[in-house]
Amino acid sequence: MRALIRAVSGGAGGYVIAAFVTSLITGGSVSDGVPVTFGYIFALLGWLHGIGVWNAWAREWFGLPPKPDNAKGWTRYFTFSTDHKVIGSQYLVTFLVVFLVGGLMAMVIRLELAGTGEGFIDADTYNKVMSMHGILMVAVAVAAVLGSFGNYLVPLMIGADDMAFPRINALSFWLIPPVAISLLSAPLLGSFEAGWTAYPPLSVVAAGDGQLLFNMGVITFGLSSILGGLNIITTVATMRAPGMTWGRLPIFVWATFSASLLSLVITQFFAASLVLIHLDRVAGTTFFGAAGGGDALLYEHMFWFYSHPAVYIMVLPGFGVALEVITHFSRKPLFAYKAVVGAFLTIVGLSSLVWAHHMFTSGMAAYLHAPFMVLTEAISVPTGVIFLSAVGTMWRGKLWMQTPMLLAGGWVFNFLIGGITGLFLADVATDVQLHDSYFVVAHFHYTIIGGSIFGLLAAVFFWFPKITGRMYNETMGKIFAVWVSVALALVFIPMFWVGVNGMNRRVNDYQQDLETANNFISWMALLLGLSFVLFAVNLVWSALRGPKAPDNPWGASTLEWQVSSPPPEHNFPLLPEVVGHPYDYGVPDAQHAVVGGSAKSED
Amino acid sequence: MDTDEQLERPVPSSTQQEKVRLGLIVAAALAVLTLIEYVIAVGIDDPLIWLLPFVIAKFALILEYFMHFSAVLGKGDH
Amino acid sequence: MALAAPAAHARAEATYRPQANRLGLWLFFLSETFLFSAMISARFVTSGTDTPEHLNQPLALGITIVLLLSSISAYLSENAIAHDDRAGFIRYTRITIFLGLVFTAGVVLEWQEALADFPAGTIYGSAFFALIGLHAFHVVTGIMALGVVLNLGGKGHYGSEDYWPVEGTVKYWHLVDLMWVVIYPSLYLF
Ligand code: HEM
Ligand SMILES: [Cu+2]
Repeated sequence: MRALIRAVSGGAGGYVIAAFVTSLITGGSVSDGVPVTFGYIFALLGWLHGIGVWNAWAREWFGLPPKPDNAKGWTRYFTFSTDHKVIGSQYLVTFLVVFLVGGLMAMVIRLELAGTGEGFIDADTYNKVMSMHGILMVAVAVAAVLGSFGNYLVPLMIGADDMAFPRINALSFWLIPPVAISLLSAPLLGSFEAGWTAYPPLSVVAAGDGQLLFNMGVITFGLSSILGGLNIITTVATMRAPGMTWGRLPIFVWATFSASLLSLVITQFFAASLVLIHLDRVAGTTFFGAAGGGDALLYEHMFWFYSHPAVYIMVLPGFGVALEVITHFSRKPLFAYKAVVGAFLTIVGLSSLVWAHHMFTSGMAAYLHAPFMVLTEAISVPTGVIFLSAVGTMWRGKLWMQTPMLLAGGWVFNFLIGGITGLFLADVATDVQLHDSYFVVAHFHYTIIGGSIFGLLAAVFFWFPKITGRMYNETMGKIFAVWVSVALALVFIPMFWVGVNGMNRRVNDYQQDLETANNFISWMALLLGLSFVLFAVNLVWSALRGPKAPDNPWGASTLEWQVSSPPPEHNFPLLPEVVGHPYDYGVPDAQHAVVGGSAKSED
Repeated sequence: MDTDEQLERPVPSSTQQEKVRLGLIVAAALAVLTLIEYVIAVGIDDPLIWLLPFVIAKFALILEYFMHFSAVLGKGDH
Repeated sequence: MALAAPAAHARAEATYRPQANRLGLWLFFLSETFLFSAMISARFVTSGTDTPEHLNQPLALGITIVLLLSSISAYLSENAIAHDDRAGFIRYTRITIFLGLVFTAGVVLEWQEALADFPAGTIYGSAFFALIGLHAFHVVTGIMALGVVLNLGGKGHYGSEDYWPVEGTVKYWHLVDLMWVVIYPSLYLF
């Protein structure tokens, strides 16, 4: 706790001092662009210094012995801990909280849209709430599975004692709270209203200087994703246990590996595009200002060059979770393992070549339409392979319908809807009609909730016993799984319909004749929101009071289930040795790994 | 854990002097390329096409001889 | 070893693991390359290969040569410590830092002229300041890192068996040069 207090005061102090000094130098007000920029940078440095970067790490650069914080018990979650399991849990709890906050904002949005006209909030506020909801949820989708389960499970699943760079790992988590704080405190500077996409010219000319905090917060978040991706790639490449060949990696590891490849490189484009927005706002450059010779389309290209592949950073880990759960609960080998791995890697390559399908109506050169349309549609092929693997694995399996499996089944169904509706958007002729309508909103909620959030939910229930050492309540879990799936359909299927009938996204008003449908959607959204109360109650109550979980409640084959729940401090008492494929269910005498049986000791 | 991996470290295959010489040769090449680049750019209108080979050559020289790029692929010394 | 940390969990980093460290550093470079590519493409998309009349070509060529020289001295400093030549390491690292500072001073000088001739509000000026600023940021952080290894090397850290921090820093310094190889013609010559 002391570290956290130091971090908060370091951050606040850094901000106040830097912003004040810069405002004295520039002679303006403390809330001008330049002081806010420097304030943020020094706040970030102060925060990191306080949380323990100095003590645990930077002291070495000056020849001083490092003083890591060796807190034990629950307080270690508030320190610069380098244990990948602690970091994974920190990510998970942080993003679940952000998810619930973003969800509350969705309730506000739906409240406003429950009727036509300006009802609950005015148009201006609506834009701000909608922008905040968007960016928070995008952050959740990008990092919730990858950051938490990626960190927690990848070392366990490959038989390593930690990540390749434990301190970089801790750093990538501790960059996240400043992001959340800066986004949520943006209203103090007038909020941001250009949506999560931050298109110029609005993001450059909008009055609210909260856009500055948005830019810097998201750039910081990008840094965290890049470092996290770098760490996972290096870990998988260099820290696998003896016998853990690439062909024996659990599919979740492949999924996080692929997502990490994407986040390592393309995130820089989002960072760069926001740097340019920031410079246009505070340094007087004119990258996107047509008057000075700039080009707003440049932003859209740079932004989508990140943000389309980013949707695969969101779903690939979700794919991994779903396939993992489906194979364990169908008690069958994963169908077409190699093809799935190939599909992951194809997606990594292809997804960075399709970005301009977001720009069919933007006025970009017309000869770009056809190639981007074709390439986008081509992505459905590898996606289809993954989908077939899920269905093929369940086919004639002994399905064990526990909560994780129910949610993985929901993933299959929902992601199918998301993927198929994507094709209508990829087709130029239909997209010209559907662009910026609620059809798009429904599409991406189906893909992101279906692909990423359902993966997250399945993962939470599947690995809950491993992480907490306690069992969640199965009845509540099952009720939740059914409830959330039904409510999701009731909210988003009508959105396709209102979209086709001409309802614009990102506007707080719509045609009179769509009022009944929207009113219905709003009530259903409330129903969807309430399902998460049950989710939260189940998790919190079970984590505190649930029955003790056995080491391997699912009888699953992969390495993380071969150690105690929760796993011991350095994961494996002895270096495990991998002797077979991870999913050989039903194969006589098959074994994935020998844990503790090998003679070679770790330390 | 350590012993294993330390054994894998390649034994230096050339002496310090040889490496110094190699580095100086590469640097001289880079300097010459840069000067030619400059002369071309000053002399020709729209020299993009003419300059690209020089950029690529300099890029490759630095990547290989100064940064030992091939070492990361597991071959090469150092 | 220099980076050895007592904490149990820091041991993965404390052990000399050239493979992981190198791979991690190269992945970071790959990522940085994308950042620079994004900014360089912004320059070409907005202003093509146009260059203003008033560019100070001799100064740019001068700092380019300075940066190249600093790359050689960085190379020599890594080579020296790899052969346990501590005096050479210290000498060449000092030279590298000095040349890095000269480069930075050159950039400052250039900016002062540029601000008058093509301010940030022009489209070439936007690209010019953003790109050179991004690069200069890397130069300055590189100088800081060199300062750290110089200080520790002077205190007797590192040797032929264990000079990863030097190797990493020098590679970073070469990356800075590598990016300049592209930025220089993009802004001045094309
Ligand atoms: C087969 C797969 C997919 C296809 C063909 C596809 C196609 C498209 C197209 C063409 C658009 C642009 C629509 C418009 O603005 O007019 C779009 C929007 C979007 N898609 Fe997909 N998509 C697919 C999968 C996904 C996945 C897996 C995700 C996320 C996990 C996703 C998330 C989004 C988002 C967030 C947007 C809207 C972005 C915005 O404007 O704010 N899509 N999709
Ligand atoms: Cu897309």
